[in-house]
Amino acid sequence: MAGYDTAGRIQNTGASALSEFGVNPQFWVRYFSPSPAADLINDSAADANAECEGLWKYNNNSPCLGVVCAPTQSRLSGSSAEGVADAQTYGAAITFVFDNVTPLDNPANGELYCWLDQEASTSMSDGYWSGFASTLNGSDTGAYHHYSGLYCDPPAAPPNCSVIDAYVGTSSRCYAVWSSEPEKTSYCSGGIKSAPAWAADSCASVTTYLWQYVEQGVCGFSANVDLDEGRTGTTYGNNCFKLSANP
Amino acid sequence: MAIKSRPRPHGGDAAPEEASGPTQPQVSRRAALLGGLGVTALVALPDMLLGPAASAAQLPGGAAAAGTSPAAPAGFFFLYGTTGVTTPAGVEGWQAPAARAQTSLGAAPQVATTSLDAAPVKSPDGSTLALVSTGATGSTATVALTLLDASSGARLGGGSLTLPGVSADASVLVTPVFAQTATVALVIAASEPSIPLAKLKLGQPLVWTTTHFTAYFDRASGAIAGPFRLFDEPYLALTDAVADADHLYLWAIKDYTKNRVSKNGPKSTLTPEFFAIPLGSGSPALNSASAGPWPSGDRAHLLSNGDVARVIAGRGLETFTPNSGALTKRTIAALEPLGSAKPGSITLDTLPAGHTLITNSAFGRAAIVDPAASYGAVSSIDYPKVKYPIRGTTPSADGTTLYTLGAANTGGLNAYSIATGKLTASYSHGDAYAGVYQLASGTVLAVKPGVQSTLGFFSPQLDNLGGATTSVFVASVF
Repeated sequence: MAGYDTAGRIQNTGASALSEFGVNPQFWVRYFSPSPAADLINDSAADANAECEGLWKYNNNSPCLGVVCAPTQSRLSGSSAEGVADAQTYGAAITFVFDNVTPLDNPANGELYCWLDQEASTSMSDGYWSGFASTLNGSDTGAYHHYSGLYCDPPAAPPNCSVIDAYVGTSSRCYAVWSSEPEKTSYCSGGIKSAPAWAADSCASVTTYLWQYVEQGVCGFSANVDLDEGRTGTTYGNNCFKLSANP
Repeated sequence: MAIKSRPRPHGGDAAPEEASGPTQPQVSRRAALLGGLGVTALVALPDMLLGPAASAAQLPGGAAAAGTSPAAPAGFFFLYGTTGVTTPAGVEGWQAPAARAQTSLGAAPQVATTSLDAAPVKSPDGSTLALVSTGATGSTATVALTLLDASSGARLGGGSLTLPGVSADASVLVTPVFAQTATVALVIAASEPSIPLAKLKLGQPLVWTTTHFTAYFDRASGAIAGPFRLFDEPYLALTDAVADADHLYLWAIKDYTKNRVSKNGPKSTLTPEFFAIPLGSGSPALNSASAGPWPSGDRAHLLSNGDVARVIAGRGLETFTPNSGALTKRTIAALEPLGSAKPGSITLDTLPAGHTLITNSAFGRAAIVDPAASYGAVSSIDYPKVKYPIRGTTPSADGTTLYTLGAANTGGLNAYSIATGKLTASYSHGDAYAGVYQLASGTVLAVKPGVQSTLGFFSPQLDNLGGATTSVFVASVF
């Protein structure tokens, strides 16, 4: 399944994306606190509901909402306390949106992949990841589980895979990778109507479940979206919230 | 306008970002990373354009900088980032243009510390660096503050305090905030886990309960006042903070998870809150609702008109005016209509003329507004968008020039006139840098992350002065 991520609001982005790609996405990944440079879905209950109305409007057959946070990137080089604090905020923001959008349902398999944005130029410390992941993995609502995941460029030089691979089987486990590479201009023309065959980069010990195969700037898209697809043989939408009705 | 370029050195550098992908040498890189990574470090490096030192700098550990000589530069700058457990932080591979005939950096890099608990904080005048670390005395958590001269690396002072009632298992987040006086405020969020992290098993629920404190270090006397307990209810650990001569200002938000009942239970209203706390106190003198976003742990700013401000959503400001008590959400006309698929790196700087410069790398636009004229637009500058950098722009100290990263397909650096918005200089040899800074000497420093991160040194006119590589994965430069 293919969909979008965006730092803008769904209701303000959906029309331009539909115009550019001709079809609606099967999921949207949206930014939650702490993401100081993005429009946040958790700004208020009204904002969360307005975004979910957009989610419903731009594909009520697959109204799946994925979650990501992008802290100021230098924080990822910090201590466990910084990771704990960021995950504490992230978990609260997710729960706030879940509670305040009445028809927003649990992920179908009960496992919400909660992505942390690590850009290709950004380093990450062991301490930050262990604090972040242990806090988020433990912040269950009782209705579903928060599963820490990492958005990263696996071949990039700054430590990413080498950090998360070390926590397999621990309370700081990384459950999934969202790979930002490879991105090729040859993928641009297919849009989300015909996403490329699965070829995402991966880490040694953590499976890649989501692939950003095209970025807005690479293809010169006017719509404020990046294009993503779920791993072949899996259904990424099952690891997202899903609307049961229009809020 | 001066455009400078030269062929790519050695033909072996990484290709520009767009060409990266699965063809990169993963195996050798992974092999290079074996041995453990991810230790936070602060490394002092000589600022090469400063004059000869009168004496060797004294770094925080107390040891004189090894390798310094009478010809060594007087000043230092600091790289903050991560390095390997078995990979000592270092700098090597110095390449200088023959014209400068400078065959080395002049002084050896020094690891200032590897026990930081947060990124350093620089004073608004750039003279002082605040470092914090946490520990425990017996079963009680402790906090230590160290102040360094940002140029020489000399220790200026510091102190420590214990946090009563906070266990050694707590996660303690400390944010130093420089006031316009001799005071350095400490905003402390102590989060107690329901299970010590060392005993936590995968799948076990983990609940944090956070208590906030303030404390105040007096640089004149060396005394610490506090800690003073803040807030009766649990708030999330992240706050946005700034101080002026009278108050510490905080944006904070209650911990939603502490008040929720269930998805179908009654909903509590939740709004970020703004606090003005007199310096030296733990009791807010003002508390009002904020219309802005949840705090993200970012630094707020003191503006030239006396307002304090934080950037919201990468394109607007929320300001507080102490004289009127007004908390105002403001749009910046040059940035408001812009959007992007991804967030970008945001900067906010006050220029010598008092204007406020806000940039967002995802938009490729800098907006200059005048706080003294109701935040009216002064000018704007468009520059190439790049993938999320560690710092995409920096203004020159004299406020005349904005340095930006070059476009993804050319790399390098650009310089723009802040007065006219026109490109005044450019340098490219294909390296796609991810951070640009100006050092105290005026040297422009560009950083390109890699297994060996590249440091490129340039004159204010973007003449190439040389380069070096470092084993530190640079997250920020101070």
